[in-house]
Amino acid sequence: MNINQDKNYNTHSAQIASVDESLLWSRFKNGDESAFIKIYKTYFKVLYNYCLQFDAPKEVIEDSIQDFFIQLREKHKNLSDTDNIKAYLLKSIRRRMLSLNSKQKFKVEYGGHSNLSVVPSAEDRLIQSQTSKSIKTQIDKGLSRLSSKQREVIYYFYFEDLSYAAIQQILGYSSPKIVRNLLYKAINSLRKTNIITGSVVLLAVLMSLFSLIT
Amino acid sequence: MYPNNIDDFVTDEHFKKWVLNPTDEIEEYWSDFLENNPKSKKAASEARNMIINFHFTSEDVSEKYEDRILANVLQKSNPLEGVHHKTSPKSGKTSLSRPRFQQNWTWAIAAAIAIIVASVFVFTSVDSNDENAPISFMKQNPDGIKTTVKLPDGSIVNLNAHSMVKYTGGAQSGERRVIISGEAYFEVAKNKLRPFIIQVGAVEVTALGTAFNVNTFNPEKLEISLIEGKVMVESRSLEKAVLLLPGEQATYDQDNGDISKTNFDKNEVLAWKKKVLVFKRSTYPEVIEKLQRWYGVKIKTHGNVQPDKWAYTSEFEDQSLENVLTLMGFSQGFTFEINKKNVELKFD
Repeated sequence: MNINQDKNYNTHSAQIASVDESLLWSRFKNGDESAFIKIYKTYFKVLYNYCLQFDAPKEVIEDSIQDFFIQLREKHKNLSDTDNIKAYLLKSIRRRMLSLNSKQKFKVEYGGHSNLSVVPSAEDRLIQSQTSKSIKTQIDKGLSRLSSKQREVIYYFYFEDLSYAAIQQILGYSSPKIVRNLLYKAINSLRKTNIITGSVVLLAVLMSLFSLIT
Repeated sequence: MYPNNIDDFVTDEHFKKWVLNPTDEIEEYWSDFLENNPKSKKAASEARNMIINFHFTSEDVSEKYEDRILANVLQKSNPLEGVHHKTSPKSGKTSLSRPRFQQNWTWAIAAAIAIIVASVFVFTSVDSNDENAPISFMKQNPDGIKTTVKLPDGSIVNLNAHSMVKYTGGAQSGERRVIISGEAYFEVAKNKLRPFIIQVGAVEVTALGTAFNVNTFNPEKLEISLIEGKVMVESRSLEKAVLLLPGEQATYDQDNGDISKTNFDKNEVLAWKKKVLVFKRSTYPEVIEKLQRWYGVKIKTHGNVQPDKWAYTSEFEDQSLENVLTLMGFSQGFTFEINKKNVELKFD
C-alpha cells in the first residue's frame, strides 16, 4: 500500500531539510546560542499547542515548557543527534507531559476553533461552506470514539504533518508500519461510524461535479 | 501499489503532504496522478475533506508570550558552552574553545537579535487585518517603484508603485491567503486543492491557477480584471458571488456592496505592467495622483486650474517625467519645474 518507494518525490527538498535540521541541532549542541534561539522560535508554538492536548491547567503547561527548554539547555552537550528536531522535541516533551498526567490522556476537543476550512475549488466554495460544518461535527464526534493512542497518531500525522517514521520515533515503536496500521484502523472505523459524513461528502462532491459541468 | 479507496488516500503519507503542505514536486505528481486516474478523483476528494477536518485544540500564541517565556528560559539557565571545553578529553588544546567572555558576548548578541526579531514581528503584525495570522511574506512599494515578487507558493506578483502585498498560508490552512493594497497583477501558481484567496476590504477573490489584475487605488470602486483561468469574486456583506471568465472585470461598489460584471480593455488595465502610463478622460486630481504615484514625486499647483475642464486622455510608454510634463503642458497650458522629488506646475 505504500506508493512512496516507486516515486522519487521525497527527494531533494526533503534531504536538504534534514541536513539543515541536523546541522542546526549540532550547532546547538556545540553551544551556539543563535541556534538555540532559532530552534526555540521555530518550535515553541508547536510544543505549546501539543501540550494543550493533555489534560493540564494552563499554568502547568507554561511551567512545563519553560522547564523543558531550561533542561534542554543544561543538557545540550549530551543530547543525541537528530535530523528531525520537531519529532525529537515532541518525543521529549511527551515524556514530561505523561509523567505529569497519570491518566495519560490525549483529550478530545469538540469544535475547538481552528483555521482549517474546506475550499476545494472556486466554483463550489459556496456549496461547500454549507456542508463543511456538518462534516466537521461528524469527524469530531468520531474522534471521541477512538482510543487516546489513535487520536494521538492522528494529531501527529494530520495536525503536525509528521511522517510515519517520525511518529514511530516519538512513540518508540519498532517500525513505521505499526503506526500506519494503527492509523489505517482508526480512519477505517472513523469512516464506518460516520456513514452520514460520507453521504454529506458525496453530496458535496456530486454538487461540485454538477457545477463544473454546467 | 497506488491508493484506490478513501482509506488508502487518507493514510498515504504523500497524499497527506499534498493536501496540507505541498511542494512543487508533490503538486506536480498528484495533479498528474489525478489526471491519469480520473476514477480516483472522487475518493481523493473525499479523502482530502477528511484530512482537513481533523480538529484539535489550538491557540494562537502571541509573540509577546513566546518572548516572555524565552526571556525566562535564558535568565534561569546558564549561557551555552562549547563542547570542546571540558567534555572531550582528546581536545587538550584549549585554543579550540573560545574564551569565556567571548561566549558571553555571543550570548548577549543572540539575545539582542532575538529581541529585535521579535519586535519587528510585533511591529509588522499590528496593521494586519488578521493579527493572529502569521505573515510569511510581505512586500511594500513606495511611490515611483514597481517590482515583481515571487510568493512562497510560487505565484508571481507584479506590484505597482504605492502598493503592498502580504501572503499567509501554512501547513494547516489548506488555502493561500493574500491581502493587498494599491494595485497588483497576479499569476497564481497552479494548485487545484489549495485555493488562492485575495482579501480586499469586504471582497474576497478566490483563484485556482489564473492570471488577473486587482486595482484598489479608487477605494469606492475595486476592480478585478481576469486575463486567464477562472476566479470567483465574493462580497462578504451581501454574500454575493460573481464568477469571472477571461476578459471580464468585476467592480465592487463600496457604497452599496454590489458587484457588477463588465468587459474590459486588456491593454488599458495592464498598461502599468508594461510601463505605459495611461490617462483616459482623467480629471485633474486623478492625473496628479497618478503622476505622483508613478514617478514618486510631490506635485504642487500654482495659478488657476479649472479642474472641471479636465478630461485628459493620453498614453506615454516608458517616458521620463520631464517628457510627460512637456507634452501634457503643451496641450493643457502649463509650465513646470522639477526639483528632484518636488514638482511645480504653473498655470497662467
